[in-house]
Amino acid sequence: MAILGMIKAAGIIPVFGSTSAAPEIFLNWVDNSPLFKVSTWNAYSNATISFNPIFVPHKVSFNVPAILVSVPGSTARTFSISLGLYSLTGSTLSLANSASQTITITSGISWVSFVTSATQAISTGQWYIGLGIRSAGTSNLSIAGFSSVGIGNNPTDVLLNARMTASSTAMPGSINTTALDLSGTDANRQPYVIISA
Amino acid sequence: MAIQAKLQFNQGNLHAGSANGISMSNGTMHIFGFNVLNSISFNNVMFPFRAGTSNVSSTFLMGLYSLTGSTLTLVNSGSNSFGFTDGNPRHLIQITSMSTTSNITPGSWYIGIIGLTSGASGGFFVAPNQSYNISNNFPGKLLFGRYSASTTVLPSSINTTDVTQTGNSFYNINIIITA
Repeated sequence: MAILGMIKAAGIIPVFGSTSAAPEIFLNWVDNSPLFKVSTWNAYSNATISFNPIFVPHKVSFNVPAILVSVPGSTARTFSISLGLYSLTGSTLSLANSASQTITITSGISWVSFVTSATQAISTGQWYIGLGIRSAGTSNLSIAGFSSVGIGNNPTDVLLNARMTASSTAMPGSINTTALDLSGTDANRQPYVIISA
Repeated sequence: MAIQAKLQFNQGNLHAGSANGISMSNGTMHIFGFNVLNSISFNNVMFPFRAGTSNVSSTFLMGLYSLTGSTLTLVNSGSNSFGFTDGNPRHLIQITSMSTTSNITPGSWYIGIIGLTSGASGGFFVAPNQSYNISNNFPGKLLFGRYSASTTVLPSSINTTDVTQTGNSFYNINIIITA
């Protein structure tokens, strides 16, 4: 009864049903935080891959991963953007799927989607998004995201936001979390990422 | 024995980061996508709204839509008339009289809202963020937008090609569904 009380206090009414398997639920999209919480435009570090968690509450097809970017001015610029879907087992991030895109943007705010390498129904659970952006010239592109907190120490027993300490032009197949920078403002930048079916 | 959680409320948020809200044009249907993670009764929907002027009465039409392919289909609806007569332009609009009694099952759903204010230009959704001037449609499944045709009734179906997603349409308002 105590458990039921806690469940109800949390805003959930338990409904006792049959033991038959629940039908699979597919969402049209999943994002790493609600769109309405986007609060800032983050700069990026050239050829440095960031890792951020994304929780998938129900299955979603890895068809159209996307970010929202902003470019000022009126000069066309070309960017190579890579995105990786990673699982975490122990202290190892393993690449499960990837997508990439080369874009040329002149100005304004726009969605950028990626061409995925393979179809995949992402299962429920905790995943990580790796995101890397490269540009030959100017780095004058901002990614819609969330304000960063310059945390001074590394979290223990959990991987939150991070970035690779080494420069990389490709999504690594696997990476140990010890090779990641977990503290400071740069490591804790979090872009808005949405995965749409 | 399996336990299926049934939510008492599905709350997007109740923030007001945008001081003036996001403009709602009179007779324009605004569409917002949202994910329901556990089933919830669809019989009480609220959203904060600011009238464009004082001492007006507005009628709000609200539809619940599902998306199959590129077609939004109306599955439930409700309406309410509200008088902004107490001098405070901001109110929580509540719609409780639905056309049918139903549960929203887990998945992605859409709410369409039409505001009709006689003699006034509409009002503002009290929104958690600013409206960004996005230059292209979202490349995946529909997230949000505005029905491109002016209407005073809830369409029974809408093709997503008739939903404007660009311009100042970064809409994501406070919508609260309670059981």
